[in-house]
Amino acid sequence: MPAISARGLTRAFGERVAVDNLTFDIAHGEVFGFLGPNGAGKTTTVRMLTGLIAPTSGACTVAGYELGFDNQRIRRAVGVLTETPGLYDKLSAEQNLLFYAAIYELDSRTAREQVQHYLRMMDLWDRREHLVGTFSKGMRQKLAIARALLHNPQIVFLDEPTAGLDPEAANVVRDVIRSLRGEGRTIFLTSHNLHEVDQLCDRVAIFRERLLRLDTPANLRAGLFDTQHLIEFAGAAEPWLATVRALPFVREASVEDRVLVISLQEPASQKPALIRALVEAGAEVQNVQDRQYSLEEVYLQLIRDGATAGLKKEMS
Amino acid sequence: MRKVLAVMHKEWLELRRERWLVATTLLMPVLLTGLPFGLLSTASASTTNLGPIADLPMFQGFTPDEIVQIVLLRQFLVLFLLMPLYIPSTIAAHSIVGEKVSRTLEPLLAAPLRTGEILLAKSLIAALPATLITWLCYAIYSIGARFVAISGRVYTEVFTQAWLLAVILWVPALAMISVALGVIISARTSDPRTAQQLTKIVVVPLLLIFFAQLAGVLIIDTIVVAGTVVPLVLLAAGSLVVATRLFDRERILIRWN
Repeated sequence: MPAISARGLTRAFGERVAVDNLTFDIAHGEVFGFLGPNGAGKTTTVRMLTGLIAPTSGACTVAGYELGFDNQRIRRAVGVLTETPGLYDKLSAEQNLLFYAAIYELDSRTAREQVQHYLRMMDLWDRREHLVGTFSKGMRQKLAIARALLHNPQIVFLDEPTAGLDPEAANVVRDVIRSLRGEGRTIFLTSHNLHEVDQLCDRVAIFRERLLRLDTPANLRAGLFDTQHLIEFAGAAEPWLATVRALPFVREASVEDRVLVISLQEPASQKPALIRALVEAGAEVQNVQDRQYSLEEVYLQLIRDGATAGLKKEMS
Repeated sequence: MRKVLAVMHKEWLELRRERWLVATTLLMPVLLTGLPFGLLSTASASTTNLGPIADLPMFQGFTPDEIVQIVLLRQFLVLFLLMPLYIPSTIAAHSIVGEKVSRTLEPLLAAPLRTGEILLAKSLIAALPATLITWLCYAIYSIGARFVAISGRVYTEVFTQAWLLAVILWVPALAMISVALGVIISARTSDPRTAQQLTKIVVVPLLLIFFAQLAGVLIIDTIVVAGTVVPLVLLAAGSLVVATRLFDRERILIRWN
């Protein structure tokens, strides 16, 4: 059974549909990235999956428990970093965590051990007796993550865990996510930091009210963009454009910044033939590489396509 | 029960550091306890027109100065039934609405806490101080009255067993009713500020007891106290159950922005 399984999950607020027919499975131990622009319905989705709000329609199981029937068990099985840290400013860092340890019914000794473990992990042990109201944004975020992990949940929801953090703090958080992954925990990660998602996630869902695409970062790149080969020469690239265009297996060829950019019909098998043809024609090839698309380019393309499709749907 | 105690402990830690809230909450009890003594020091039969009151059968055998003291001391007794209505509504409004304003409500609701557990803890942490403060103020009032009363007869006429029972038994129940009604209002309003304002209004219907007593419609004796304790406790418990049912976690989460 998957860690999370959603089928046709939909949530409307009056006339407005915030989440439309969301279907996916997340395997145990998977780090699942959930990307979308502001207002796309990411927080609504997290709130539904954690039993905070009910779906209008659809079904979902989280940690083997059915949403809407076993919400209390779901809340016990998951850890949640909400959009805002939501810490008690007038309590110390330690008091904040001990309070939640009691809510999760950890016995006194385990609670103290866990609190110490996570405060040390987050570099907050020396500040444990300080009021949270005196903490910086980064310290609050790290403390809120510690709170989400305190009861060793098997599924962790992290809503923008590195938002607003300085690079050092963000790195600590990313290391924590990696270590959670190493422990086999399932992580549902929403983030606007696409490089971070690319680094950390096994699969990525791109979402805007509905699921636009769901795959591994590599497959998303491959599925959306043709592989393009970039060829650099000792001299100018323009003279070789005609040679390349004459080859029957070349789909497209152009010159960008003194570099020949080529798309082939079957990149894997035809690339050697392309290089051979150029060398035989007398070209001094200095470098050949494939264009690497960033997840950001994939994301922007899909969001643009999604917006266009949504507009067409509205107009029809 | 452990979770309820945990929430109560957390609330208590927060409350201790809310100096402004504590100061404003304590202001009314301090004023209401001190005010009667100020009035008593200036009031006497020579400065007060007793009118037909002096002729009432219950005052037969008392001197005019004693009657003035009995009337004044008795009137202020009713204020000790108002304290458990006012004090917890301030604390409860801060406790529930404050969670939303400080954005701590969502993590709390995401934790394995039932609505009943949250509300019971928050109600108790509001009702307990209110009860203790009222009892303390009543004790100060009754001890102070011993020194101010011009005769022992005045004291025994005012501080009856019935009033002692009323303060001991009614105050916790009234405090819980006040909190539960505050929660019901909080649960049905769309924004925190409105909830905070309306929780004050909720004490108004309960002022009926105050005015009924002043008008002589409600005479507080041992039978009245004994006969109303169980209905009041049931009303308090029922109000808390209704409050729990009406406390729509989702609505509060989504609409209180």
